[in-house]
Order: sequence, then structure tokens, then C-alpha cells
Amino acid sequence: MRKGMIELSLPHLRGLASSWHAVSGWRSTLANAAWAAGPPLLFGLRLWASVCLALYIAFWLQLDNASWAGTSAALVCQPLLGASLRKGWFRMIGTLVGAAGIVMLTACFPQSRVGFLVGLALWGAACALVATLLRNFASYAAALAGYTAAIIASDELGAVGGANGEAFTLAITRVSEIWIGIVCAGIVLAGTDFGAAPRRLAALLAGLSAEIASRFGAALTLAESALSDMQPVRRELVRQVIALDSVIDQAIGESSRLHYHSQVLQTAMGGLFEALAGWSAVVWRLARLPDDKARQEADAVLNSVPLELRSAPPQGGATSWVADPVGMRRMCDAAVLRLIASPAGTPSLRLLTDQTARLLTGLSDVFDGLALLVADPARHQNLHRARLHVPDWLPALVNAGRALVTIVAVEVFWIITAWPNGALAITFAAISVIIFAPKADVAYAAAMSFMVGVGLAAVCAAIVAFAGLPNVETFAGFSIVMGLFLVPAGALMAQPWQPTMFAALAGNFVPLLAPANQTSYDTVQFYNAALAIVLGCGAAALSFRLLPPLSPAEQSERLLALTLRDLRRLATAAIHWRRDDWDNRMYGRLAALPDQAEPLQRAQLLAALSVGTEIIRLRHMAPQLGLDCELDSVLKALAQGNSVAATAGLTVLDQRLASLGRGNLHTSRVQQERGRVLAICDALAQHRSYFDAGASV
Amino acid sequence: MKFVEVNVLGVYVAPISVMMVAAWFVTVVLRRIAGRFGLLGYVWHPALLVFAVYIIVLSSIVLVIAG
Repeated sequence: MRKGMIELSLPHLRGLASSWHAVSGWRSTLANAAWAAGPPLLFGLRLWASVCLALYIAFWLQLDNASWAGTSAALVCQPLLGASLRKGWFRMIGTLVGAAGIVMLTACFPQSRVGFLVGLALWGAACALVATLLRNFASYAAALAGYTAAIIASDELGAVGGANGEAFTLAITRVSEIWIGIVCAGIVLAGTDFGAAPRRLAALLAGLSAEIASRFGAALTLAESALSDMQPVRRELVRQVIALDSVIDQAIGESSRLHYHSQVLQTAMGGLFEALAGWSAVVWRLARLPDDKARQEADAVLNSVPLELRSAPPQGGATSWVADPVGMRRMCDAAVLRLIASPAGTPSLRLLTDQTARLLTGLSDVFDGLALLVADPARHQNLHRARLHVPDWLPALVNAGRALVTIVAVEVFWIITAWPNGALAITFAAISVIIFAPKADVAYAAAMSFMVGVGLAAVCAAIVAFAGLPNVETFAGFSIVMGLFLVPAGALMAQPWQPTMFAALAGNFVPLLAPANQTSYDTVQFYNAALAIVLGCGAAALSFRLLPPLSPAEQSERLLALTLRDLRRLATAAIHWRRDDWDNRMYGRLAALPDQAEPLQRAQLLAALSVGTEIIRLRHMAPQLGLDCELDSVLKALAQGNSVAATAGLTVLDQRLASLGRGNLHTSRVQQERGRVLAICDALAQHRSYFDAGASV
Repeated sequence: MKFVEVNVLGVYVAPISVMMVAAWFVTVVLRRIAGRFGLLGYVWHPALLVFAVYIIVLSSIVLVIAG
């Protein structure tokens, strides 16, 4: 009986247990989903608060087109705080420049419709050019200057074009409205989110530098076979360093102190490139040495590298580096001095010590950046002004040409069809074609997502305008209706799937709705405005299809070809660059390499950086040692793309240096120069096909 | 007068916008057919060809309705 009862109960117990597990699973899934949905929903609330605050102030001030205040608040709101705040500052500058530009354009062509419209297209093209040349939020400011001018022009233009002479008044009004939106969004975001970009950047810098140092330590201790295994790791690290650029910009956006010392962070990024270049040079040398000699020389260098550096934990575990960056920097600097002062019996050992010192100097720059981010010692002076190095002019010129053609095409269409809302179509064509121009190969997809987002925003705005707003009379009611759309739209914008589409959905909802103190519910007017906005965005998307940007492969090839051209010019002394100029130019090229670039291409660019640096140093040394003739023949061969002849010339140069060294005159100096000669030889041998490429751009 | 406004869910829209959408659907079908037989591979600028076909289809629809 008892047995029977147990036998009967067991299936029930099993069923209960499985039900309990299912319920627990559902509960944990729901809890995880709620936890994951929290930050996006919070962002949606921030977006809603920003837009409502901006609209309230604009209504209170009785501005004639208050919707632009809400629109700019929605556009300034970004899921990342740094992005939002810095975008806000740049937006203010860009708006002002755009307003000044359109006023000047109106003054230049007061009676000429064609002149004004062509001028507007040229202004848009110039802004697209500058937006592509500059990076991150400076690029955004340039884009804004372009489409602020288009926004003001759309108000200024009559039914079939031609300025109406109210440019200055309109410029003042639009700038006021846009600035209200920027300030409101800034206040709401800064008051509700303190940001984490500096901490994230510090963790990334520490993680990357720790990985470089530990892998370099491993390279010095491992056998030759393991050296080649690390090549993909090194090339992947170059890609990760390139990706730091946008995080640096976000961190700068969150702190005025970091903004003031932004050069320190850029130098830290350059330091990582230098560290990787030094590591490559050491590995190439060790790979070319016989095993026993490689072991002996690697051990000699290894003893000079502090144990704390080479035994650093891999990425993610470098907390001690973040905790005391000043101490780590002192350790690096001391190790660099030790390495430079250490005697080197052979040029090969000299190369290894010098390149290790280069790596440690790079890491020292990284620790300087880390100290700025977490420790803040009061010693940073922003003495150097950053110079703009354009990696490649062609993508910018293509984007400028596309913007010109698109804006002119929409203008012609508007004039021919005499479409009353054509001016609005020009504005949104200009916005899309300028703002997505710097996105290169993803520009078309982004423009299409933007157009789809605008279409969805039009549907939502129609529902809110004709079903929601007529039932409310107070601003509180209006805010609640807005919140029903803006909170979910903002939450969707903050998640990773199709962020461009949802950003367009949230950003274009307010101009489509066009709330005013005296709201009109004219369906025809709404339909015409919505059609103009969608068609303007569609024209821009079409332009990216018909005049496509350079593909990532073409971009990478051009960057490599341009670098080779510069290297050859450097070799022929056609251009006299200081080391800083060369380094910054190369860092710019490395940063411009698309994410899809081949790992080998990144390695080739890094090798070109090293060769150029050594050429500049050798050119400086040659007159002092009377070796101009030998160096000139080497550089001539290098400029001709003949690395075999260049290597032979470098061997002769090395022999001449060796004979100078035998006389005990400047012995250490001579060894150092021999090490440099050897470094160039190694780089040429490693990337012979690249350095011998005959093509020049 | 053959070009009359079209009632879409209570909103009267311009006939050209309906024709533009119709022309786009026709072009998508033509592009699929061309893609299936590999015809776009023989063209220098496929996107330009598709755009030109779209304009031709749209113009044809307008002429047919006007006629």
C-alpha cells in the first residue's frame, strides 16, 4: 500500500519539480529581461523629459517655430552621455556657423534665385567635405553647419525659390530655438547620468597595454615557433587600438578637464601604436637570429624589463595598472633609461634594447593618459596643438560631389514641379546626404534605415496628431501624449538593433508633429510635409546608391599606397618632416583604416611607420658621421621600390658604421645607428612585396 | 481628369505618390528577374540601371493613366 502510494506519487513529484523549474526559469528570464530593459527605458524617459522641457520653454517664449527646439533636444539626446554633451557643444558651434553661412549667402545673392540655390548646394558640399575630413564630433559640427543652413533656407525660400530677405531674422530665431533644445537636453542628461566613458577608456587602455606588455614578455621568453603564432594577436591588437578613437572622444565629451588635456589621450593612443611597432621590430629580429643567439640576446633584454610589466595580467585583469598609473609610469621611465644606458655588444642587441625602450616609452605615454583619467596629478600642460593630417582626400571629395549633385537635383525637381513642400525636401535631402557621408561603406544602409525610421515617425506622428492631441488641452496632457511615443522610441534607440532607424524615429517625430501654440489639424498639410521629408531622405539614400563611397578594400589600398608614396618622398628628401609630423601622419592613417582592412595591411602600415621613423633619424645622423653618400644611395633605392638594392646599400652603410666603431669614436652612438640600419633591413625583409610595389597614387 | 486624389485611410494623397509606390514594386520584380538570370552582371553600374528602369516604369504608368 505504502509502496503503491510512493509509486503513485513519484510521477506527480516529478511533474511538480519540473513545473517548479519551469516557473523558476521564467522568473529568472523575466528578471533578466527587466534588468536589461531598465537602462534603455531610463534613456527613453530622459529623451521625453528633454523634449518636453525644450518645448515648454520655446512655447513660454512664444517662439514662432517651437518644434525646432524639441527636434534639436531629441537629436542631441544620445544613449551615451559623453556623446550627448559633446555633441551638444559641437551642435551649438555648427548651428552658429551654418546660420552665419546662410546669412552671407543671402547677402551675396539678394536677387538671384539660381545663385542662391547653387550657393546653397555648394555650401552643403563644402560641409560634407569638412565633415568627412574631420573626425567624430568635430565632423558632426561640420555636418550641422550644412543642414542648419538648409533648415533656415527652407523657411526663407518662397514657393519656387529665391530668398525673401528675412534671412537674418530667421537665422536668429532658428539658432535660438536650436540652442534651447541643446541646453535643455544637456541639463536633463547631465543631471540624471554622470557617465562612465572615462572609466571605460581607462579600463580599455589598461587592458590593451597590459596585454601588449605581457605578450611582449612572452615573446622574449618563448621559442621562435611561438613568435609567428603571435602575429595574428599583434595585428588584432592594432585593430583594437584603432577602435579606441571613438571611446576617447566620448570620454573627452564628459569632462572639460579631459577636453583641455585631450592631447594627452591622443598621445596615449600613439603610444600604443609605438609599443606595437617596437614589439614587431623585436619579433622580426629574434626570428632572423639563430636560436641560441636569439635566446641569449632576448635574455639580456628581458632582465631590463620590470617583472611587474611583463607579468601583467591579460586584458580585463589590469586593475593594479589603473590603481597606480603614476608609479607604473615611473617604473617604465626608469626601465627606458636603463635600456638606453645598457652596453650592447652587437647591433642586433642594440636594436632589441632600443625597440624595447620604444615599447616602454609608448607604455609610459599610456600610463600618462591613465593618470589623467584616474589619478589626476596636476602636471599636464596642453602645450602642443593637434595638427590636422588628412589620411586621404578622395573619400571627402566624393562625398562633397555627391552632396552637390543631390542638393542640386532636388532643387531642380522642386523648381520644375513647383511643389509647395519642395523646400522641406531639400532640407531633409541635405541633412541625410551630409550627415551620413562620413559613414563610408555603411552610408547607404544608414540612409535607408533613416528613411524607414522617418516613414515610421510619420505614421506615429499622424496617430498622435489626429487621434491623441485633439483630446488634450493642457501642456501636461500634451506631455503625456508625447511620452506615450517618445519613451518607447527612446528605449528602442538605446538598444543595439537598428539604432539608426530608431534614432530617426525619435528625432523626426517632433518636426513631423510640428507642435505649436496654436496647433492646426490640417491633414493635407501634414501629408505634404511628411511626403517631402520621406522623399528628401529617399533622394539622399538614392544618391549613396548611384554615387557610392569607396569600399573598405579600396580605402585600405589607397591608404597603403599613399603611405608608400609619402615614405618614398621622405626617402628622396622631397619633403622634410620632423619625427612628430611623420608619426602623427601615420597614426592618422592607422586610425583611418577601416575595420574590414586585412590584418596584413595594418601590419604593413605599422612597418612603414617604423621605417619612416628610422629614415628620419638616420638622415639626421648621417652628416655628423660623414655618411651622406652611403645613406643617399640606400634611400634612392628605397624610393625606387627596390628593396634588394636598398638592403645591399644598408649592408654597406652598416660596414662603414662598423669601421667607424672600431676607432672607438662615438662607439655607443655608432651601435645605435647600426641597430637602426638593421631595423630597416628587417622591416624590408618582412614586407618586401609592399615596399617594392611600383604603384604610386 | 484622370489624376484624382486617392483616399488612403481617410487621407487624400496625391496620385503621383501612389504611382511612385506602384512603380517601385514593378521595379523590384524586374530587378529580381534580372538578378536571377545574371543580367545585372553585364552592366557597368547596376544601381544606375535600376534607377533608370524605375523612371521608365513610372513614366509609363503616368502615360498609361493619362492616356
